[in-house]
Amino acid sequence: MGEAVRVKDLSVWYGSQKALDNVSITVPRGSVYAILGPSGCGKSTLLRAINKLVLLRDGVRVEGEVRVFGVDVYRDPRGEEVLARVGMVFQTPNPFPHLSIYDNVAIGPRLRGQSKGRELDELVRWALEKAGLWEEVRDRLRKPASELSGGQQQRLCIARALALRPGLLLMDEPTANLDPLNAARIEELVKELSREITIILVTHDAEQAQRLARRGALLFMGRVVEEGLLSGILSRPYSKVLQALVAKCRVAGGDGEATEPLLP
Amino acid sequence: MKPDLLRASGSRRNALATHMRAKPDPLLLILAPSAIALLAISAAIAAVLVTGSLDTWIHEGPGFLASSEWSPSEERRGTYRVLAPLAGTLVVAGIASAIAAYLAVAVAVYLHEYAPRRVREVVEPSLYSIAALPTVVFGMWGLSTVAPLVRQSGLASLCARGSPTGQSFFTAGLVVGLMIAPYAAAVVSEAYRAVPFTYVEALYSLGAKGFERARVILGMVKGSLLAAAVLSFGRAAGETTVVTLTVGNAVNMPFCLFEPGHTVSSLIASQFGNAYLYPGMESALLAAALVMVLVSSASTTLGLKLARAAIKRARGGEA
Ligand SMILES: Nc1ncnc2c1ncn2[C@@H]1O[C@H](COP(=O)(O)OP(=O)(O)O)[C@@H](O)[C@H]1O
Ligand SMILES: [Mg+2]
Repeated sequence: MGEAVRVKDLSVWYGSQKALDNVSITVPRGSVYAILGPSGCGKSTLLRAINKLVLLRDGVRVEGEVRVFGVDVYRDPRGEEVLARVGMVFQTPNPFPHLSIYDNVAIGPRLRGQSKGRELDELVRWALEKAGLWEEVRDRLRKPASELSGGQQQRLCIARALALRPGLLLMDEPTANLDPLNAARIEELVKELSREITIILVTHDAEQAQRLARRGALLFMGRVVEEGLLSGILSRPYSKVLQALVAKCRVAGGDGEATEPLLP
Repeated sequence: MKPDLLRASGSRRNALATHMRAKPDPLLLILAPSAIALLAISAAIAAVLVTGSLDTWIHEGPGFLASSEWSPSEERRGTYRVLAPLAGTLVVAGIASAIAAYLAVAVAVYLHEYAPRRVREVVEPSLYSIAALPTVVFGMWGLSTVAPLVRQSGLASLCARGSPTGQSFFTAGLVVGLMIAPYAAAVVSEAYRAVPFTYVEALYSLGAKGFERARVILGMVKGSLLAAAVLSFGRAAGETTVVTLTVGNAVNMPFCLFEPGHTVSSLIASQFGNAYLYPGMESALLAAALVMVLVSSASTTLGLKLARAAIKRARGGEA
């Protein structure tokens, strides 16, 4: 049971539109796993299917199996417990704007009634340190989170997720809305955190994927077209890979319902 | 080069101005008279209230607002002071807006955190239709159903002069509160729905349960909640029909909620028709109306200001 996440034959529909088609991936523990693909191919859907957030959308239907640390999260009653230790970081920094910096980080542990007082202070500090934000905010923990810059807000969101003491961290294009400098800081963080936490990183940036992850999956129109070592997936330039996929798709009828494998 | 540019832009501005002068917007032609008419009507009402009440302000001075003595007389000028109905207005509106705010929050949280989607889709728009019912319907319901319930509850025995009919400050506040609750609920529900979805997702990812999510989201929209409460207060303070039918119509300080009383609106509604028989009463009622206009326009202005600030904050202005 070495893997952190195993997705098997997963299909997701939004109403009648199929967003994921028989997706299977295996994410080993203690590493960064990249989910690559062009915009709209289903990356966010896959990520949200892992922690069941996809069920929040209207008219969604999920088929298949998702195991997180061995537990089938859609069927096993222990799923909730397991998902309580899965953190998520979103594409746009979304700290709660009306809460203080401290309260943003403390919200997860508080909701679970786990720690209070001193212990909570320690946990908040630990999470902020891990997220590389402590030095910048230690003097203004009671200030509203909305006063922080975009990059700081994203690191605050990482701290908020880390305060859950997660075994798995899901990150949906966490640098897509940041300037290069702040993006680089987040990348550093991802590298450091991955020593202790399994991270699944959604990105449409192949270079970022190569900098951070060894393994990953390439999605195209809701299907996994390749999975495994990134060195293999990206043995050709990413743009060429996508071009080939698009060309292949056109030949197959343009609706993404091609039955043959999409990669040459 | 530069002066040239300046001249060019200057002449373009002139051209624009002439164009506007030459061809007035037809919409303006329709709207301007209506706007002027509205302003004129408001001014006329204000003028009637001010001139009509002048006599009272001169006669009674600040005592008009500071005492609750109300002794009408047909022979000579009676004493008409409105502290009691003024206090009654605040109490009834306070009860009503508290009830409405509570119900509005409860309904919004239920609809968004617990109700199945289909229920929400039916209930949410119907809140507006309930809000559009004529107020007299609520007044009759209050008189025929709620007042007897209050009487049977025996709560009146808590008060020295408890209402024998069930009509009281509390009854009026309750009925008005229930009447404005759907509208308040629609406002809160809309604010709740306007919270960007990403925060909802964040809350789920943090493992927040229904009421925990509600607490955070209500915190995010608390500006709108406050605005809804203040606007409800203003609406309740001005409510006339329902209150006149349910408040019991007695000039009485609201020290005990289950006694009959008056609000300024119910006092005016029930007395103005006969006021000409009592020297000084008409002027006193106009003065009371003037005070109400000031109170309700102040609370509406405050409510709208709060609402605007809340919208600005929600759009990511500042926290
Ligand atoms: N809430 C939704 N309702 C309907 N369709 C959706 C919804 N969210 C995403 N989709 C569709 O599902 C597909 C995959 O979307 P998404 O997972 O967001 O892709 P990506 O993250 O790779 O850009 C897209 O075609 C998108 O239009
Ligand atoms: Mg996405």
